[in-house]
Amino acid sequence: MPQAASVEIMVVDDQRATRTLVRDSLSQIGCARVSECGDGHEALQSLRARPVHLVVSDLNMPIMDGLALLRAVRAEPSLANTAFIMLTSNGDAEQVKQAIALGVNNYLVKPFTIGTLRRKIESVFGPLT
Amino acid sequence: MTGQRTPGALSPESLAAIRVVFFQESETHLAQIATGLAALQAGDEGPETIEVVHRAIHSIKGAAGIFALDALVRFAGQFEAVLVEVRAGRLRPDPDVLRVLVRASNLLAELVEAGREDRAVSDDRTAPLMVELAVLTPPAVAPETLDDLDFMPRPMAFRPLGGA
Repeated sequence: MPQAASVEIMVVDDQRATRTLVRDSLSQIGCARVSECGDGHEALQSLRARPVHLVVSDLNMPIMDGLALLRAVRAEPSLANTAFIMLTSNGDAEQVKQAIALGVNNYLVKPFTIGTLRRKIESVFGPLT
Repeated sequence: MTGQRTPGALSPESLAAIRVVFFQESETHLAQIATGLAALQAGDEGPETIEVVHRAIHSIKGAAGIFALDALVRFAGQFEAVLVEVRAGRLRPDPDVLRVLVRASNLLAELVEAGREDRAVSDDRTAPLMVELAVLTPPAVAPETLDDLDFMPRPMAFRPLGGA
């Protein structure tokens, strides 16, 4: 039962508006240890240097998209304990299926509420305190 | 009718700041769409050009949902559906198709502007072009939604970072 404040989270999205929305929503849950990256490649470099508990990543991004990032994270033994929630739109069913096949822990459909975001994280780690 | 769909309990100040960034980023996306379509008209049918246009439309659609810009979301969704066909190679971006896409790009910009000014846009304004776009996509097959997926979340132990 982790404390929300102890969960380190990386938000990956090429849109600053969405990154800020996720970060501000996480802050409302009590998750304050949040970093941001603008694409999968940047995220992977950062994760190798400094792992986090949870990655919340968009699907569609330039350079390296969310599926490629998920594939890379799952292939990296040092990131074996990294949970992954995919941020998606309701029309992305095909890509979400691919994410499921690659081992995503859960997915979050935009637009979302803070309550939904919390439930998605708790579905992975259990109740947050 | 436009209005903010409050995602939980974000402060009005936070939402207002995110909204400003959304419209700034939309300008960039609209420019990418216009540039990409111009390149396609000039004969550049490279996958990266098509991908950039598709991603830009997708990004506007996704973030517009945060602010309940429903007309914008619907139109961008139909516009995106055509780009999916082009990207998959099922629809060739010939001059007739590109003329429709350029008009769609202009209307998308108009919808973004209306959203910025919090102006409602009548369906009468978007409906004719929605039909033209729909003609370019496969016959109505109910799209699979995420509700259709049979998925159980995958729990993971919460471990201290740096531990084996």
